[in-house]
Amino acid sequence: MDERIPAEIQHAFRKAGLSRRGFLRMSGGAVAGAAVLGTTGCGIFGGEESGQGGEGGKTLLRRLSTEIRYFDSALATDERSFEILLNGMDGLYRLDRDDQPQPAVAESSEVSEDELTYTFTIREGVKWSNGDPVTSHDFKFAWLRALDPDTASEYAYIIGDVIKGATEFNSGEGSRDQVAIEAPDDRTLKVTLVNPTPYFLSLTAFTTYFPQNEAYVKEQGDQYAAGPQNILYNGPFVMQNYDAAAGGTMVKNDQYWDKDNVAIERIEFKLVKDLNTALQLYERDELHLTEISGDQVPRFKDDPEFWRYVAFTHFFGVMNQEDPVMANKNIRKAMMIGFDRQKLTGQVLQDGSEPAFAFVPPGMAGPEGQTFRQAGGNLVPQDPSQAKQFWDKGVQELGRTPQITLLTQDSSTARDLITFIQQQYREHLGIEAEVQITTFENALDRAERRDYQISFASGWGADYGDPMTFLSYFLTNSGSNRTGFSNARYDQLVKGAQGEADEAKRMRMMLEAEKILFDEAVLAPEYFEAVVGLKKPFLQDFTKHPYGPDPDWKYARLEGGQ
Amino acid sequence: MLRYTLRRLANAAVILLIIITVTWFLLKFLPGTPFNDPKLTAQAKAALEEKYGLNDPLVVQYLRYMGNVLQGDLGTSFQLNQQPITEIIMNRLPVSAFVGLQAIVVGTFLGILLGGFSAARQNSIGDRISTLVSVLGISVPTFVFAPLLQYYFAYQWELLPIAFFESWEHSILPSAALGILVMATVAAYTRTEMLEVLGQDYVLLAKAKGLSGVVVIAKHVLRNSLIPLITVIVPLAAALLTGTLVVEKVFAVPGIGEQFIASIVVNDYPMILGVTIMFSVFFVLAYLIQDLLYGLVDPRIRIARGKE
Repeated sequence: MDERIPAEIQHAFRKAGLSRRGFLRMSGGAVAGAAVLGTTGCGIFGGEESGQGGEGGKTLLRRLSTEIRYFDSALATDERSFEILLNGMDGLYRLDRDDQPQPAVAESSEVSEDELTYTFTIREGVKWSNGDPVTSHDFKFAWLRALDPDTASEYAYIIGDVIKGATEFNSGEGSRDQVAIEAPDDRTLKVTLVNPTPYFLSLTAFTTYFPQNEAYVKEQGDQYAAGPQNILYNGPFVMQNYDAAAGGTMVKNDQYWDKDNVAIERIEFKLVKDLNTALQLYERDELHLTEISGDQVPRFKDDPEFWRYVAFTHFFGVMNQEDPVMANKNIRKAMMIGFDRQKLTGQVLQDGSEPAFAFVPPGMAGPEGQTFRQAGGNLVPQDPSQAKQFWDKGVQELGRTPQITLLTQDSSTARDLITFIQQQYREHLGIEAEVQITTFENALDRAERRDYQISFASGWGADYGDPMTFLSYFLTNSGSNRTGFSNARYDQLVKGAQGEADEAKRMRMMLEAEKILFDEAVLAPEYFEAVVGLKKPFLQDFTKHPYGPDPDWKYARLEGGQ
Repeated sequence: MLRYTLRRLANAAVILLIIITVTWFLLKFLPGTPFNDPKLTAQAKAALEEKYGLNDPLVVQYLRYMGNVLQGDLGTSFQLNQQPITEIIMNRLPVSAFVGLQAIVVGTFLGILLGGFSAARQNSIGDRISTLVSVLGISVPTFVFAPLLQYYFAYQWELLPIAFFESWEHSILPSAALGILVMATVAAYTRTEMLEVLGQDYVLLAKAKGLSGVVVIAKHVLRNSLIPLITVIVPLAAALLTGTLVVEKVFAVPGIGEQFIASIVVNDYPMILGVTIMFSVFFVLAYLIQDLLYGLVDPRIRIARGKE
């Protein structure tokens, strides 16, 4: 008997038929096991061939911030799925580097005089990655598939709102045959719209409008788009492999009609969720481009590799007009005006975001060569001290000083912002607002049930480059309007603009509608969100768009490798 | 022993059933649905709920779920391209388990060394330093250690990879970040247990007989101190083998821990339930093994519980 091993354990192992040596081997085996597993790989390490990154190569090393949720263009809703689909697919039109729609699968389009009927001519020689030609039927099929209630596409409305008969089919009230999409031959696609829609061509560059090959979708059945190998591509790149836990690789599509204008040969997507880790990888040249967090902006803002992009995304507070206190317009105005947006972006966020003094973001097209914002100007006074008089008036009307509750979600940015706003209300209105922090889901749920006073958990990103994407938010029957705001004049103007062919008149109507939102103090604008990051100097023509899917790697080049 | 094991297995099955049922119903009380996107129209939301059977009465949904679970089908993820949950778990669990196992094996070994040394040299400077190390290891959270290890060992000194999981070298830092906790916990327990044993009569007798310190420690103290370690190591092992959020996120390790948190944020019910079931199985098994080990090393425990 070996005395170095407790008698009980020796006894137990002897009973199990194990000698002392066997026992020692077993315990040693545990330690050795880890090392052996490690050295042999045991099939759990990613360990794929890494592309030739770095300056001079044609492989882009790109961070993937989250898993790709959908490869089905009818179902995709998140940014990463959008990015993969945008680079793997081509719509009728594609946004260029200046965000203007340019013919892609369509070589041309004609618009009827009443601006309701678009006739697209499909480019000859455009092929799917399996060699099949891309035809007008592929668009008709894909659009109808997205609209089909059985598909349950979250983005069906982006087609439904525009094409005649589409909403009816999507809501189950109309039929497939009543949707005004016709494909008389392989190269002609004729679409009739509900209203004149000046941004329709740019909509056809949106993910949900991408084509799908009917024969292939049917052949795949339930497996369609289960992974990147279960879809067909017709765009600049093809996804070669994908591991939901680690990332994937896109390679240049040799079948792409415009392949001569695609410089990048290969994109390695690496899943890195932590921004600090991403930054270290970037600095060690293991990534060519990364987003950075707001608190890293002061360190890099003067760096030549720093980039900043203000998207058409607005974060704002909404006020529940069904609440007895918030039903008072003067109280709402006080809350709308009562915090300093310059300080909010400059001192709290510090991430390049821009203060918001209106609803529609700057940069969005407006009347007569101006942007919408230039034409509409600021609609919230820049001086928050003006809020006090509205507050006092509101208190007088209510006959008491109300308690105000601010609702927000539990992210660190949201906490910082709500603390700032609470302190600003204290300073400018002399009130002690209560703060409630909850999950994003709960905040949305409470907004839907109108169980809040002011909620700062809301934001809106543009789906297309027209102010209508914002203004339709507050229509009385809009699902996103969770404020109880209902204004006949507003509805009339927005709906009128939706049906207006005269562009100048349409813009005027939208400008007037936006003003109503502020006269009625429907929202408390906070900021237009910026995306900030770093990119290597050899990565040229990095193209982001302020709305819709991006970045578009079709245009990018890795200088030195060309 | 067989009867005892069978009884424990039956208990484990009941506990699992209770955990799944309670989690399932608790999830139904979570605010919102997986389809709470403000851009979603009422029709689309209704269609999605219909598609996933969320409109059926709760009891129907529950029975359907349990029926599927019994057949080994944990459903498909709402958020990840309708991927089967079992596939997601089977892809990611081995990665978490590998990193965790490495942390446990090395951490336990180093912890016993550190704790043993500390107890043997009680009140010396070495003891104080190692106690400090173990207090730090237990009290400083992993989200502090992990980025520090990454920053110095990978970024500054370039000794190891910063992130990803492509070779054994890539697993060292994540395992180290987890292993510190194991080492510190084991060291603290070993020290306490050994000090207690050191005061026992038979140790004093051994010393009085003139045996050297090393022999006394090796022969009498260490072996009697290790048994209570089972109490800490087994649940710790269960927790580490199933992944940890922070380490996996910081080192971009494709494990299951990080995925679990991501699924909670977006109300991915099948994913939350699937991973909860997996965690529960691990913990229940861990405690089962713990009890069996107790019974194995100390038959009195088995007899006592057998009589209950």
